[in-house]
Amino acid sequence: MNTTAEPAPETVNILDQVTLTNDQVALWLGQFHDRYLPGAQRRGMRLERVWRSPAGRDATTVHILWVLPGIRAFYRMRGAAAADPDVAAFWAATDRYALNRQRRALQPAMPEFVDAPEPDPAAPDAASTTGTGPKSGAAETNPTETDSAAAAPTEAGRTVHGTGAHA
Amino acid sequence: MTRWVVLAATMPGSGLDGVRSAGPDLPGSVGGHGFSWDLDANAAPELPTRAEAVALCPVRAGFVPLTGPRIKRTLLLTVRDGTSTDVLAEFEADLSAMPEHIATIRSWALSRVAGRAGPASPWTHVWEQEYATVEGLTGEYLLNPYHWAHVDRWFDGEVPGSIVEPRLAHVFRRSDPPVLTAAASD
Repeated sequence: MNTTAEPAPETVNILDQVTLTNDQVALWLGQFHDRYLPGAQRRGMRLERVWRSPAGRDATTVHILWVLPGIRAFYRMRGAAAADPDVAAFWAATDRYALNRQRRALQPAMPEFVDAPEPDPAAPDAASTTGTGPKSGAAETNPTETDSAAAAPTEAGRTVHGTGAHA
Repeated sequence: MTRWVVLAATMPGSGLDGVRSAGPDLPGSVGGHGFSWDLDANAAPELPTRAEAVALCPVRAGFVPLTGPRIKRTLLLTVRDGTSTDVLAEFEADLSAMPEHIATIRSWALSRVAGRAGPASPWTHVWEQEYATVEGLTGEYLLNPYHWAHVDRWFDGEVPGSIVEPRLAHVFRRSDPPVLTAAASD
């Protein structure tokens, strides 16, 4: 039942989901922007998307998608976060009033579309057809391509994370 | 006879009985003192200065025959006080399942700490593996998604529900003889 690791995927995604009462969302987003985002970016996390969705009559879930350029970048991030007391403090403060919180590390499950399929000129409404692939929208940003340093053989023997590392 | 893991700043003295294997920790090891020993003893071994030892109470283990020298990896970790038995069982099950997903793990053993010698240490568990090569540990083991996208959540302080304290001792070294034997998996 080996889930053999293929060559390191180009990206690792982290999905944060924080559920708050509606009156706390703006405050929390401000705290996130001021107290968490700068450090996260210094740790190599690129903010990809922030969404919100109703989570009940008086609750909203904030969904935050991050991108890291590979698994070794993920471990470096983990080590840096573990060594920074401000990270733990931010989440401890969040957890004092958040209704729920989750974080998941994600691996790409399908190859990304490089080009949107060409519209069929013979099809009706062909002129209004927009691209359907994940990279077709103008607002889409491409994740950083493979971080060659992260995948280089010289990484193999290097400690890529300090205290508070991994299994 | 109890199996012990020792983290020390020197090799064991020639008069110390029961040593299965000992050697210098390889670059990339963190949290140790420079050397790690594996030995069997009925009582706490006599330790030099700057050494700590833990006695192992087996939880689960697996034996995979491996000829020749190998890489012996030892992780000492601390599960946070107050963790429920149900959650602890799930954590131990997740760790124990890593060999099912990661082909480079050969023999392995998950143990709880049953006793200590030397300065007070916080360790509650010892997670050990043998690999044929260093790359088996620093490559496949780290890069496998079962590790970083599933098991790591127990260790990641940013994930709600993490239970492992940030301080770890992750040491690995070469060993000519096997450390984790068929008897260890009984």
